[in-house]
Amino acid sequence: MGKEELVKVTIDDQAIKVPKGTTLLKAAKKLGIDIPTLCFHESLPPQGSCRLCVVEITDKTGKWTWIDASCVYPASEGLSVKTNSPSVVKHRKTIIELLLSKAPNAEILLNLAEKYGASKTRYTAIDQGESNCILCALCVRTCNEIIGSHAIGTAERGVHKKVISPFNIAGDNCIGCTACIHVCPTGAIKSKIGKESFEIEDWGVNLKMATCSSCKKPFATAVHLEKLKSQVNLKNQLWEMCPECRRSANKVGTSYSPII
Amino acid sequence: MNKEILDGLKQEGLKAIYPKGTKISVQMGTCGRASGADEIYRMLEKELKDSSIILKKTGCLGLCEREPMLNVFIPGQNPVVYVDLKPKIVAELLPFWKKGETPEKNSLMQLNGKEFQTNKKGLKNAPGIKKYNEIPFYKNQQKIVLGNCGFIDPDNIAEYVARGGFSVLYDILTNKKPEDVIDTVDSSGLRGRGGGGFPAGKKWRTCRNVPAKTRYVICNADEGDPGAYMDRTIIEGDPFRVLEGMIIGAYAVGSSNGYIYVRAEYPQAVETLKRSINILRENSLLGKHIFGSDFSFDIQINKGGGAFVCGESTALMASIEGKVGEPRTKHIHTVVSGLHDCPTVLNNVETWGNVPAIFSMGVNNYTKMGTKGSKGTKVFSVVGNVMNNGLVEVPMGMSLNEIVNDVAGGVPEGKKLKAVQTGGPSGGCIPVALMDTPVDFDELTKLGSMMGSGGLIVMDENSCMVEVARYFLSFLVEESCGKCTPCREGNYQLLKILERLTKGEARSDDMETLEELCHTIQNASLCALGKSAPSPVLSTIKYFRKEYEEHIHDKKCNAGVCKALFEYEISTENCTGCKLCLKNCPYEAITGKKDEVHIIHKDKCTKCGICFDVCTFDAVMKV
Repeated sequence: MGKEELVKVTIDDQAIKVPKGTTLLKAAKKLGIDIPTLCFHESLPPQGSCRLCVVEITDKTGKWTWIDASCVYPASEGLSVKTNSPSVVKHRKTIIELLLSKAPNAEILLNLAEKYGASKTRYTAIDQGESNCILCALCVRTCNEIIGSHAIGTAERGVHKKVISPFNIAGDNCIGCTACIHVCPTGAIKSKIGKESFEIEDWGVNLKMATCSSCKKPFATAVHLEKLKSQVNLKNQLWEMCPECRRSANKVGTSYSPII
Repeated sequence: MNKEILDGLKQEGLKAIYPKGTKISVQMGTCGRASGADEIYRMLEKELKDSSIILKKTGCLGLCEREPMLNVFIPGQNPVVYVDLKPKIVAELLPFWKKGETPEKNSLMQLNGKEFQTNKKGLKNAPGIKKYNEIPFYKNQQKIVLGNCGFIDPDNIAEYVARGGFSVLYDILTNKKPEDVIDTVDSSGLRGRGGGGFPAGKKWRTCRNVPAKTRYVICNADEGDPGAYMDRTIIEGDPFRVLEGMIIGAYAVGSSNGYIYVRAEYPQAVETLKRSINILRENSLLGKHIFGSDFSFDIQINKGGGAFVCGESTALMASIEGKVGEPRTKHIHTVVSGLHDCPTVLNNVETWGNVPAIFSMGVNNYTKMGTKGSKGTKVFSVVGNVMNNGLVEVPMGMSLNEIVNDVAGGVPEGKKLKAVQTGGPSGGCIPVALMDTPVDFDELTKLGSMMGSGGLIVMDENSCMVEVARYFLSFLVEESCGKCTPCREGNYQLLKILERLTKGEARSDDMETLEELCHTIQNASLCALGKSAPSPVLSTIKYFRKEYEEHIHDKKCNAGVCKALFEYEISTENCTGCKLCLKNCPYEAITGKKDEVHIIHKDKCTKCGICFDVCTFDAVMKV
């Protein structure tokens, strides 16, 4: 294998050399240029679906200019990119307005709306009840590609598209890891953590909580702990404690030492 | 399979096409069967049980408007095509056919001339029957891909071989290198007939040059445009042509696995393909060492589940892989990394169907047809307000005017042509003023429409262009996969605005919002479905802006289509007081005495339009 090929791209009049194929979003980030995103997450491959990160790209000949999503567009020699041109700003504004029509209370959208002068009421409101889901699918991708649980997926298409448990039946795939909740940019996934159980009503999730043997507080779902147990080789009694208690008990030489 | 067997098949095929006894071939494409061909076939089956007359099925000859149709071959005479059939008419004609006569009643034409190789067979003219090139619908057509449809038995490989089939494949596998095949396709100028118009030779070459262990060829038969059925007819009428094209393509790019992605809503096409693939396997034309060469190839059928977006290359391949049929960004082309991340050539049915013809005709003859940038022919399904709804194949570059008026017979009943929609739901509407435009890939794109896969929807003066745009948008909103924001949300909002316009609820700034939204959807969507979805809106705004403004500002629909924007009134001048409208009104909304002017009561009128349709004095008006 030879050395990585470097290509020169110009972003907002600043030149930078990056390995060929680096996404324009990453290249911009290296220059400290902020491009807004909703469906992008460092830990996941980009999928270019929210389209908020669109930029204006001109090829090296200067003849062709087009709009594309920077999170997926690979850098190649001589590309010139504008991240804030009038047309980019216009498209972003429209995209924000479109998303606001179905998630009018999402904080992240309201902040973006203020920045881009987007109207909250320009388009027909789409009633999604309490949900602020904007179908970025970060929850689905995290569950499938990182956690490996495949507890949720998208169903139907177009405006009817939604995130559901497989076949809309409460399945036993969900381990209650809550990664989906943390990764959601609009806080659309509503859950309840009680003493006995963990619930996500929309997907029919209802899992038993495990209680810490030391402080007696519920700290994780039982199935989540089972899954971790099968993946990480730790002494059994360590799994019975919440992270805080485990840390304080975790001293080499005690019976709670993680080394078996 | 070898040369001798192929020659044997050819002889067998000729005997089947021109048998020693009388032969009746019923046109049993999906279109024919929808018009009642099954009933006619069953009836003939019963009537001919003890007869020596051969009964066969064939595909569609293209003139779907006149179906059910059948061809009668009397030995020594050109086959005669009968149209507009009903069991009763067939019963009247059958005794004549049995006697070896072909009466004029319900006849359309005889299949004579070089298209049907009847010259070679020395067949005589059928007395009193018009010739093929005397029929306006056919005389300006140039049938290459449709050449066998409605003429041969699609299930009989021998008939296909008799028409020249598989001789090209034999020649290629015994005499030509894959690179030579690609060079030929390249120099033929063949462009993808599925919509994109990408040069096929270039695609094949790229695929061949990508280092890989496995390469795939796929036939896209996920034809989903409303009113378009070119691919279905080709598969049902001449499946071996498509398969031969695929085998040639596979040899050229170095693939041993092929797929046909065909929509499940085409059950007959699926069954035809299944049968044909099995026949090819039995004849060693699929499988290992085809024609004794080192080349092995097989084809699997993959049925689509009813998603329009799966006609898009990346969504189609995701669907074959068993994933959700959603497109991905195409910064790496599927020809480099497609199905299972392997280099993949995807062409549609008609493109594959052109491949054997390029070799059998020779590049020189092939490139004589068409324009500078678009070679060969194009199959169109011409539907809508036109005399001869049907399937036509014409050389590229023929004007819209010729296709619509000369070939398809123009708009019926003295109405005026208003526009033609080309390119399927995400194509555009071209106004009557631009009807002289030569139809090729580049010219249609220039007008803000596209060639698409070949749907041509003809609209007369009674069409409301805002409603037309709303209709196509409603289709696309249902078919958007929902992955990206502009297409999922944007097209839905576009539809909402258009619905407002047609309901008389338009806001004064709707025009501005429409255009702005279209602009973002076109530029920022992920795949071609989204990017082209605003075309029906943008092209109708471009050519019929006045109609939009009338809908928005005057709340008027001058075409009289959008019910909320007009009312029915009875003209005091024209009304004779005949009471016909009054009697027919299902809502008792019309009153009036005999021989006195009638009145429509708007509180009761539902605008069903029955009065308008029944009045023989043009007294009912839309105002």
